[in-house]
Amino acid sequence: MMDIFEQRAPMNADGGYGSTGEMKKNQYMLQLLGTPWDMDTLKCIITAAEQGMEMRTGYLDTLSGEQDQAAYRDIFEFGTYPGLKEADYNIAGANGIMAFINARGLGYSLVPKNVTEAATQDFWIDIAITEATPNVNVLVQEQIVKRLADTSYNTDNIVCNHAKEKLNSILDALDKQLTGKAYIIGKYSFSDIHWTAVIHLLMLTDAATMVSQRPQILRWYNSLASRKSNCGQDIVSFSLLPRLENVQRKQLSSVVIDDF
Amino acid sequence: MGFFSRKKNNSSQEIVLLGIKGQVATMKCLLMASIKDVSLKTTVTSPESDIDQINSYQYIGEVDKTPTLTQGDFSISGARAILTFLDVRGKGASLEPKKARTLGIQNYWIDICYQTLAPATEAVIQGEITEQSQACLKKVLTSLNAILAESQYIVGQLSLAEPNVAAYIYLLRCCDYDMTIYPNIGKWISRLEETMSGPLNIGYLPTPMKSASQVA
Repeated sequence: MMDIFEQRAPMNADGGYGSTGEMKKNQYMLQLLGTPWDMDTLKCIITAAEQGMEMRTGYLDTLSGEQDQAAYRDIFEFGTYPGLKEADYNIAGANGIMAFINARGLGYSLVPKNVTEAATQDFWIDIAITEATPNVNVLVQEQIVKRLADTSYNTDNIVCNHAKEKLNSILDALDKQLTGKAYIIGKYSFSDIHWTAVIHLLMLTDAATMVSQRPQILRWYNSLASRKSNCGQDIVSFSLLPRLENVQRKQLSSVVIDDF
Repeated sequence: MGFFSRKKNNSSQEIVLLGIKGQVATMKCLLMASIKDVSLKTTVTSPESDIDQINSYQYIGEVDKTPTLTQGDFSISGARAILTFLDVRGKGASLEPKKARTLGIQNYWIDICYQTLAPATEAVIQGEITEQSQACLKKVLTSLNAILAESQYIVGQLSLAEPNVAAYIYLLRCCDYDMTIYPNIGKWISRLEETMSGPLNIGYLPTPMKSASQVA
């Protein structure tokens, strides 16, 4: 029986490279199920592009609770998403997927070898997950996602203003951290991927000015738009991030590597 | 810096941990230090407000966070970062699995801790357990119990999943949550304690607000 990955993120739908299995490449191709407004999904796409791993993506209909239905729960018992499949291996959640792709991929590791840099990276990841994500999610849900489910939905401005207020000090801290550095801890690392997803979704809301008012975050964010991937292949991970219309159409980009 | 000058080496300096009694994030750090045999000077304060059992750190005051680890002029907050630091600074090989698939599963279980186990455990501690949180907790513990029937450790080898998950088990035990139906988890904790310099100091555990058996 065709599983949910084959239904939503078919590997060989376009009959492209490896579609007949002759190149044995399928076993290294990844399939991801997630949603375009979910930061964790975006982090996985960025990581796959940075590490040169081809990945087919498919939409998981979390608006109707598909993550809690049997087809998904039979694979991921707690309904954690995004979900990833590589041949006979399944893994869910951003941290598991990102670590797996990082170890599997072609580029140098996105985890710094120096202990204080590695700990500092994790600290900034923690700030992104613990403090920034819940507030950016409020804005994304109120201004974009709830309108997808109900076009007549009126944004709760009080809730949004509260979230923006909380984000102020968090973004100030990030702006300060980026001063004098190309990337968050100096070199490109997982912390940049976590924050790219956070800031990108924030830019799709009416709080985009919170980014443009902070020169260091803006410089860093703009530099990602032309940054070649970590693995040295001709791909810019930033270009795979969804625009507002992609989010509204529930579209996710797949990671396609052309220059093997 | 001169050609032959050395970088300042902090690794022999005392490591200081500031935590909160009964905070799961602090307990993760203490467990990790025990597993990796890292000597810590620990200051564990009693909470002035509610303990955050969900996140990797909580604020004490406007800026300061706990747990916070300091060694020389380096200071870092949050269980995630502190565990990474202790993993490298401690004795023996890193607890991060080398195989990509095992590494992925380790991080999956760490995510399950933050997203599922933490809220359910907090509900038990607060005496506010609902049918939903009870079901979540049961599902996670049943799954862990099944894994640990087949395997010595959560991902097959001792990994960062151990201190992350074990901290919640200590908390649940402390609240008299019935763990007898999960015997493999109990055996796993005993195995883990054999790898440590001893069981977690009971003084770091919280005084339960209400026994889970009273509210379940």
